[in-house]
Amino acid sequence: MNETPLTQEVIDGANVESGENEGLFAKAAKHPFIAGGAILAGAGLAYAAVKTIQNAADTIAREVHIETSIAIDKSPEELYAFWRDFENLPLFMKNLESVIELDERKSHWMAKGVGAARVEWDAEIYNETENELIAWRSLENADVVNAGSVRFQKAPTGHGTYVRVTVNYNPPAGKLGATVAQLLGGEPTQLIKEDLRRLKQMMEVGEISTIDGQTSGRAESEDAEIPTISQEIEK
Amino acid sequence: MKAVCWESKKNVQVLSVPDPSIINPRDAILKITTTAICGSDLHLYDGYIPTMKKGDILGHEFMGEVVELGHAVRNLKKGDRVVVPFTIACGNCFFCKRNLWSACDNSNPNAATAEAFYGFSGSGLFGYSHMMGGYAGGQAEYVRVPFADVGPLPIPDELTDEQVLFLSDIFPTGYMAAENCSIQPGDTVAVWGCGPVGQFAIKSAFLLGAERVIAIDDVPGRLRMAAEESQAETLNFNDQDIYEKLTEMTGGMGPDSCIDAVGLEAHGTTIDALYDRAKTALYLATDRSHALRQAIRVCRKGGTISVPGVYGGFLDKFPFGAAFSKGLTFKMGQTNVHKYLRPLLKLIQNGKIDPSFVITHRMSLNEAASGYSTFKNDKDECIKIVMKPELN
Ligand SMILES: NC(=O)c1ccc[n+]([C@@H]2O[C@H](COP(=O)([O-])OP(=O)(O)OC[C@H]3O[C@@H](n4cnc5c(N)ncnc54)[C@H](O)[C@@H]3O)[C@@H](O)[C@H]2O)c1
Ligand SMILES: [Zn+2]
Ligand SMILES: [Zn+2]
Repeated sequence: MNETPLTQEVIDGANVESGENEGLFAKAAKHPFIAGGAILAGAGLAYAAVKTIQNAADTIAREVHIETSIAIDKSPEELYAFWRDFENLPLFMKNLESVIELDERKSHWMAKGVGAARVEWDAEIYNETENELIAWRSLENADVVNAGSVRFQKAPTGHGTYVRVTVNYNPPAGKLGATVAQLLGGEPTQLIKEDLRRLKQMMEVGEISTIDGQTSGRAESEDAEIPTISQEIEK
Repeated sequence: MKAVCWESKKNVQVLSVPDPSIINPRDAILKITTTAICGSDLHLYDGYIPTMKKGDILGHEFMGEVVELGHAVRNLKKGDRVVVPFTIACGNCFFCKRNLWSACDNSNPNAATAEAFYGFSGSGLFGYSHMMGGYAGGQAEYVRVPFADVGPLPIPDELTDEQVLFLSDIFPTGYMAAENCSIQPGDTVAVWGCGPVGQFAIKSAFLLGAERVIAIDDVPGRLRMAAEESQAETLNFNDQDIYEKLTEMTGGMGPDSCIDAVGLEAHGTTIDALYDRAKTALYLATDRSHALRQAIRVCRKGGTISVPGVYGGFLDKFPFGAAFSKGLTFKMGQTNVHKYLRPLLKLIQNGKIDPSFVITHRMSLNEAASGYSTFKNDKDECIKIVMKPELN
């Protein structure tokens, strides 16, 4: 994957905005994907700064940046430990086929295929604070340039832990792009929210609620998707 | 197995479907011994609840015998006779831990759909649309029960099915409705709707210390049951102006609490203003007296409006000014059934109540289609139907 032309611009912009975290930015600058919030958020930058940067560079209009959070009734320690074992991620991330840890920091990620197409990449953890933060990013030659971070923040008493996730990716062009689009559907944010909901269920309940495999008075051929809200409105 | 399936509006059919099986470790499979049709099922029957699919198995009031257990269920064994709450709850989340079982965060696999409608999703429900989880219901010979280590209540042999079946829904629902009124000695409670939920709300209001209960409906048979079974005073809303009558009966003060055990079909509320049927429903509803509005208008200053009746969407002409100026308290929601199972079982065991008093019809599961239409159309004769697969 080629370096995107926006990289330097964004870095510069970020530094102007923040005037700090230079060490980390220098490091991040080597990464082709730098526009989104993961790395910046990981570095403790204000989200506002990220927004300014995104707006400043219209070359990154296609960049996807997702931020969401969920409260889970477990301690930051338990959640961190579960997530830090990246091989657990496919248990709740619907589109992930497998993650193989290559060493302490590096891992190989494989998304579910669409048809014959496969989407894979190597990633590394580039920022980490035990029980608080894990930030990762794809390495060179990734099919999809991406980065993400997860923060485990103790919530007010009785409210468990806020798990805050950012995910950024650069949808590739061409055939691969179509595959990725198909994987993520029209609503990547919703997809990540659903992933986190599954994580919450795994952690709190020990299983993921489902009706898959349940019987009904329908023939399998009739077992269409749940009607969407707009279909319901049409009815 | 045989199961009662929702085919389309006003069309339910008993079909042969594959038996259910264990899907998750905390599941159980029950062989149904007795099941019932609920007023809530009529909302599905009449097509008011969105996200139903042809072939969905109905039923959320049921009990039976445990025939299979997932490996994580350790507190039940095969052969146990259990009643199952209609709300599906994990027992582990923020809400379950606070006794808000019907708000469980982890039991609706389609939570996103409910979120789109309501901002947040409640718990999954048996047989009550895909927005509420799409779980197959218990008007069937067998049913899969998720979180079987949390919900099902084992029943002692000396109690019959008919005495305990309604712990699954309408008894706790009526009880919670009355409990939500925070009844004080001397209180007068008015109850709109003398369906099964209303009947249990009336009985529960007396159990919780109400001095007077005034029951309102326009179905003579149901008003009669309220008077005979619970010694409620009764008002037929077709015969008089309810506001005038209730204020007159309470020395101009109004009832201390008002319970709306009618729900959306009386008022012409509906799922969503976006939702096409809303308008139709609203126009239909203008023909009926609007129980909730009436309750808000007549409730005494500082009183409580308790709403067990199901609402799905937006209310038209909601008299919020009246509610505000009187400083009313509102309590409502799907019942936190789990919270009430054991205390109410005790009341049954101690002979304080025999919930089977509401049953007017007993039939086989095969007769479900006629059961639904009888319950819908013959409210005078038919108050509660129980069905037994073994009669098939
Ligand atoms: N909150 C819960 O968890 C929960 C649980 C079970 C049932 N419900 C709901 O409770 C409601 C009642 O259930 P049910 O099984 O008794 O249903 P039902 O249909 O048998 O009873 C409703 C009664 O209300 C009467 N009614 C209609 N319009 C009225 C009006 N304007 N004033 C006074 N009475 C009026 C009807 O004649 C009928 O007798 C339904 O909306 C049902 O969905 C809620
Ligand atoms: Zn019910
Ligand atoms: Zn729960």
